[in-house]
Amino acid sequence: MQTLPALNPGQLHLLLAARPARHELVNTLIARLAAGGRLLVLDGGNCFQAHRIARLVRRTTPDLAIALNNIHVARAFTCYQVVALLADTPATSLPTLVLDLLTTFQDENILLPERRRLLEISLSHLRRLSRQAPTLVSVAQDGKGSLPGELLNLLEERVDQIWQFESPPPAEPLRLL
Amino acid sequence: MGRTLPSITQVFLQEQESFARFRRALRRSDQLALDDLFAAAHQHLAAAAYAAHALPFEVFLLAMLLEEHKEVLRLRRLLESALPASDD
Repeated sequence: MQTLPALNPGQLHLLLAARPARHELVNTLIARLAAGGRLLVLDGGNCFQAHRIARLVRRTTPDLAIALNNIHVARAFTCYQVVALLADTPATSLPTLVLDLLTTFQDENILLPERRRLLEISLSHLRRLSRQAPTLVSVAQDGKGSLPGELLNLLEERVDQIWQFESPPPAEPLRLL
Repeated sequence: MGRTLPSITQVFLQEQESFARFRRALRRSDQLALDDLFAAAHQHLAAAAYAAHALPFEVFLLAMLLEEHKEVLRLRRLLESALPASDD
């Protein structure tokens, strides 16, 4: 997890990884940024692991309360709320992390064209935010979700950098002979 | 909307689970002592939830220490009542 690259200012980054690794990478990044200053976390998948992050922050700085106060969290539980949250977020110089952006876009009760339209709006706001500060979007790459590939492709086309982490294949069982 | 934080019982079980390998490596008598410590912490889950500490395991450790100290105090009182009073 120490190999995580730094966020470049003015760029929109996309983190693609399967669940356990993605959470660990994002938590590590949040802890690292919180130790250095304020940051904004927009949680689109209800996956902000406060206790785990507190533990990681404790490893990097003795000023736990100060570092935790540097983290500003806002959550969205539907794709409409994601759009509203991004629209209401002013462009500042704070690093911005958007966790599990596409999770709420898996809602099959909303027609796909409507979800695509909402994602387009979200991406325009992400672009606006990324002009002022480094911005990272994390997306699940679990393979068995109901996320339409079209939405992921749209996202991949619009970002500046893609960090893709692949899980190592399961080790083959050892044989005696 | 769901929970934004796991319940204190879930956190406790996760912490206990994270020591499963440690427990497995202990001898049987030590495993039972470790189980007693976690049982002691389990008695104070309501207080731990109310504390809402950023690092819940620290609260669990304090709860274990609390129960240990209560036991020390109980044994001290028992010993003092059993022994004859001395002047020095």
